[in-house]
Amino acid sequence: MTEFDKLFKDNLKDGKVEAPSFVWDNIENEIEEEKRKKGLFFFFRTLGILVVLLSLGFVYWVIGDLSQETQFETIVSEPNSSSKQANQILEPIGFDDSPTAIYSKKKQGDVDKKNINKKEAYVSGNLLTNVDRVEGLSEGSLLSKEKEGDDNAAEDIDKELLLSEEKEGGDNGVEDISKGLLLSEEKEGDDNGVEDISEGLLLSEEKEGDDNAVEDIEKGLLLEDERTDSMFIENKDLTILLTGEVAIENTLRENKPPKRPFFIETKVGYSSYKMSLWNSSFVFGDLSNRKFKSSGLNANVSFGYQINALLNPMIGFNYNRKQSEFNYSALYDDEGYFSHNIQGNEMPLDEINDSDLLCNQFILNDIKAVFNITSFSVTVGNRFNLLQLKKIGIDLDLSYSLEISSSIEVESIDKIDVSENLREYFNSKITAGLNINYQLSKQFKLFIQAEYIFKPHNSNNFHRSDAHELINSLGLRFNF
Amino acid sequence: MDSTAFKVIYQHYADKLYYVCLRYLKNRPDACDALQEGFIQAYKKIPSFSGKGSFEGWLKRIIVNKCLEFLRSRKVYEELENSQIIEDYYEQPFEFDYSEEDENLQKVLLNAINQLSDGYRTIVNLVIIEGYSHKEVSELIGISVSTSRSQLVRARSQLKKYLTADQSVQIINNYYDRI
Repeated sequence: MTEFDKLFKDNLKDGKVEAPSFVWDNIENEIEEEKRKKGLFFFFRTLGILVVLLSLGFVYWVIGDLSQETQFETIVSEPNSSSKQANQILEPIGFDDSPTAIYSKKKQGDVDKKNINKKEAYVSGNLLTNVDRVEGLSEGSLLSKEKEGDDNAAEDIDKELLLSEEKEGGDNGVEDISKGLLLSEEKEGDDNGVEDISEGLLLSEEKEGDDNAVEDIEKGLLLEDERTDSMFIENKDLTILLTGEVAIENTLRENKPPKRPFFIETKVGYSSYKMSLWNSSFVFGDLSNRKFKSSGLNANVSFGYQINALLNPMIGFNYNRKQSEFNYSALYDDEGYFSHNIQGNEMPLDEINDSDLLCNQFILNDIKAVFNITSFSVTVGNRFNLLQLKKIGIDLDLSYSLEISSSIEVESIDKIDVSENLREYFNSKITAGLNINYQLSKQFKLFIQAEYIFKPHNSNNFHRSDAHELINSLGLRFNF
Repeated sequence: MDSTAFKVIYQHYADKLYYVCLRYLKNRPDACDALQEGFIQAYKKIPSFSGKGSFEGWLKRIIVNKCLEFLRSRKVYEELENSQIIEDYYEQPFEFDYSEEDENLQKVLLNAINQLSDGYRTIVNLVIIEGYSHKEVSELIGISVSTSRSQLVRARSQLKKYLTADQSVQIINNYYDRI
């Protein structure tokens, strides 16, 4: 480097010219704008995630619903060809070994006779136990008779247990039970089909009193197609089948109340919190002995969708207006350095007018501030149905809230002059709420809710410390 | 970062960096804009500041880059690239009578730089004052190394003219008129 260059470098490298004051104002505005954009980005990202979750939930619900519908259709309608062979009726081989087909009738042409085991009402295993009750069949409990040799069939069942009669070489058919337990008649040579119950399904006539047994079956209790088709009757259900309770159950199923998965709810609550905290270790200038209390109004409107007991996504909008009082004491050393004021700015001692207490050799200064805080937040979360009795339910809500705006009007601050109003944005809150609800009508529920709110790194108390809040609310929920 | 804390940073460095902006951009409105945009960029990038090297150096580099962006928008570098390259440079004798304690010296020198065209001034700032090599300058502003060298030669030549003899008085007067 030449001397000429050195002359310039030494004299011009470090200089100072006072920057115009408006530059900082512009920078500050830009920074605030930047924060706002960041918050909006976060908000929309959260909203996006919520929409995706809701969509997934919706798809899950639709698929579940379709699946149920398909199952039902499989049961009540003609099966597809691929399932025909797999669903052949097993040959009745004896009461203790295999199910016995009891199936019905009409539209036999429409019913795939090889797929009866989905439609059959069968009696397995302990049929005898149940059949015992069905006494007095005109020719006894003749359930089956197998004419031609099948090792596994009920060969030795005499007239008392004749389930079916197989006229021609088919293995599984049930035909022509003329009297007694007439199950079906297959008119044409299909091995497995069931047609024309000639005299209905005459199940029994109970001659001697058994309360649970079938009564008053005249010439057989003819089970309706639609009823029996959809039934898959375990042996133990035989009695129910016989007594016709199946039909009632099906009727109930058909009359099941419609789903009302969406709900909207509104609640108004009293928000309150008191906190007293002593820092165990004092650091010069740090805040200590903080006391904070706030109380006010909280109003919320939420919208949700019930997928199942554990998945009920919700989105809500929350308005909160409260008055807060913040008392704290601060320590500073005897040299008079008080590091931070209530706004978190560095602050010398002479800005504090007097000192009240002495704590050891340090001066303890009490400061009281009163604020009005108004905040508006958006909440996303999930509701867990913990318990649902007939009319009373208990739910647990877990949610995350983002304060879109939080305005703090400083009403008064003793000992520190704060003239300007403070405004902070985008605090985050995590909420856990327990509510007990009571079903007022089919669509309305009344509930009370206790919510605990945790605000990490909260700006409303100026020091970015954690804040806590408790809200007790009364609300109304509408399902649709 | 809290804006209150950032204000402390601003207050600490603003005057120094505003001076840097004035050295590069000469006029106050542009210097203010560069300072403002540089600080906003620094605010956004503060989380990425690794802590290696001084914070001031990191901040200054941002401000200098911002000033270079402004100059780029004035198409200063294209003019530099297109100007005639002096292949042979004869070191001119330079006699400038000054005192180290002269408080006006800095103003005289600054004003001398401000007499240069944007292109020359940029090269002087980068190479002589900031200490960048010609290679670094060529990468920073997108000119060739030889262009950087030749323009520095011309710039030196002009500065010497400004600073010799009685011109310093005129320079000071001009400086105060300008300020």
